[in-house]
Amino acid sequence: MAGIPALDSDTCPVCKSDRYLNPTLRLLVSPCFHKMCDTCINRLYLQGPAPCPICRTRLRKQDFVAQTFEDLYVEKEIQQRKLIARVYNKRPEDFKNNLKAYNNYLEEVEDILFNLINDIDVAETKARIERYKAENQQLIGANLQKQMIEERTVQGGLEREKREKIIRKETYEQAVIEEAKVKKQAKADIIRRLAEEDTSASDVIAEAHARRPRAPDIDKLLQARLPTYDDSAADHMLVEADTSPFEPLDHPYAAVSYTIIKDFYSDPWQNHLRMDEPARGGLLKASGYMPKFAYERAITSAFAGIFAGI
Amino acid sequence: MQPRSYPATTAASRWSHYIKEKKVGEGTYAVVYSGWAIPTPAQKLEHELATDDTGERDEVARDKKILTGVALVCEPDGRRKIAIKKFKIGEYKDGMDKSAIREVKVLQELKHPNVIELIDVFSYKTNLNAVLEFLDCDLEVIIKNKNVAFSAADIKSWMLMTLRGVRHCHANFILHRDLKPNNLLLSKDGELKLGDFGMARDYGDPHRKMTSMVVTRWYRSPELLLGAVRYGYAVDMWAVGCIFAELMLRVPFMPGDSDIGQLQTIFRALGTPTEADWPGMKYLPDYHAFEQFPRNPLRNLFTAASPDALALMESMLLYDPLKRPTAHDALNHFYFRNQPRPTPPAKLPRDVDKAGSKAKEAAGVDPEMHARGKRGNDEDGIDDAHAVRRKLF
Repeated sequence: MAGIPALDSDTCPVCKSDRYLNPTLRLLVSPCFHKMCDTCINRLYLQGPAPCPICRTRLRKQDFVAQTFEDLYVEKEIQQRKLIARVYNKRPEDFKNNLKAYNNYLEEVEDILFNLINDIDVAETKARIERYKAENQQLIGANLQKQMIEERTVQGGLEREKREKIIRKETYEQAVIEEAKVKKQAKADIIRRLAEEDTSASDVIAEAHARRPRAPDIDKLLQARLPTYDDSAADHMLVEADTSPFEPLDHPYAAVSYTIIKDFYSDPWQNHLRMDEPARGGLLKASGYMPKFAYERAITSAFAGIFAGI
Repeated sequence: MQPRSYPATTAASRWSHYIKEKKVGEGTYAVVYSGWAIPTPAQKLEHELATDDTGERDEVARDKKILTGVALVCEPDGRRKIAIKKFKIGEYKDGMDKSAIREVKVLQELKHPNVIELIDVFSYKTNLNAVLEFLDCDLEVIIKNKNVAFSAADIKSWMLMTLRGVRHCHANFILHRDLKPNNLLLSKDGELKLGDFGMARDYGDPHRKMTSMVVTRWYRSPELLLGAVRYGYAVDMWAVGCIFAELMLRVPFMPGDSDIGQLQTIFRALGTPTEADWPGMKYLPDYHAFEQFPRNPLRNLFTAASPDALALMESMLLYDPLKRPTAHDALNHFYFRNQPRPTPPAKLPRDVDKAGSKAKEAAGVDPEMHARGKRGNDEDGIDDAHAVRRKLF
């Protein structure tokens, strides 16, 4: 647990005040996993970003979050896992259900996580993640989208369950009230008959017993009240409807090029721009100018129409 | 106004003359009239033959459309609705206005389904008149009209058409330099076309400086705001990124109140750039030390946006101009290939004009409720975004 301070005490490691001196002490955690009390945070970061007093990482006030887990090590692991899961989000189907490849991939992700959590080769691991990100940009995006749709479906399901539960409860309560009402009515009926009619008491009771009201059928009531859902709509979102190749570029002929344009030519015409000087070149690059524009234009113009009429 | 007729020039062999009907708009540089292009007798005959139900003719017409990429929309009698743009003579009356010349010259070069078509140019008395195809709606109207609801697929479709148009300009080494929703015109059949090329010019000439006082402020890229005089395609891509954001938010994304305030607004939305974000930034003419704003993830602001849409938008709104994608790269972005597929132009939402909403009111339906009912999900996301925006700015 290198770099993570002991944590059981409720003491701010910066100003050393503790819960005894300051009963309203609130400890927050920085992105570099150092704790600080909110008084210190306000004091240090009110004027904008400043370095962390422990490890000198640049921090901002809003970067501090309340601690979820008592153990900072766990806190760090959870946060790193969350971050990594947004990049390393391949699914078994991306490996064409080759279990071994998928397992290797999961192993690799765990390696990266282990490195990050235990501060081993952090810079190298981060570079590795960036490389992976650049290589798999498209897949990551697509999987994030799938994930979002799935989450939404699950969320929808949960909400639906919640609504159903409320309806079930209401129906049940109503049924109970209804039943009590009917019973009371039947009782009153027997007493009235005993008082007014000449029939013998045992007959009245036997008759009432035969006609006694049944408990209302809750299932039937529920069926009438629960809304029906069409699951096909939600499923439909997961199925990729149109998989035919789609060409966002129109006019394919416009993309045909008979030449390859290099990034650099020996070109006295552009010497005055002095691209290799840091100030002049830096200015041009920052302005969004590339010598390539001129090459592209000159060469494209030279070749324009050369094959016309063939 | 009395309808006036002007003979067509020989360059436009289809038409015999143009009729000017009424004034539809006026800008600083020009007055726009609506009117009709009247076909030559030969053309009229051909048109009548083409509208006959012979398959052969249809095929010819289709081939023509594929070749030129431009579909001709004509009335049954062969007339075509046009817009006549009459350029005002410059202040000093010592020649044509630069923007008029630029617009005409640039449009003569560009023929593409997503670029406004220049049909003809003629002079009358001392005025220069450009005959353009008639497009009566633009994207700004759609964005502002809260009765119109649109989905992610619709946004994708508009972005697709915009980028196709921009790509065509850039492939011909022309920068539009005034991209904004107001200049993205919409045809009757839903096609989006880039319009107003008054600011456009060629680029890629290393011996000529360009002015940085271009592009409507809210869509102006940071390098222009810092006074860059040699720039490239990236200024248009920034504007497209802003338009993309505006389509999702339905309010301008970075509305600065002045040229200096614009940079502040950008930094507040996207974070102040560092040397790593934008190498060489400090060499730009108008560079000075800026107030530092933290970088907030755009996800917080665009809650309803899909990750791929956000990725594309973020790449177009990068500070380093050379890191922004070209229009070609943007079109190849997986956003356009992912689901949902872009809506076909004909099915895109239209401007619900006053007549339309009146008709709906008469039918006892609140047009807004009606629209919301149909596409409730998207509306919710947009409302969220509004709330967040208000908090942010």
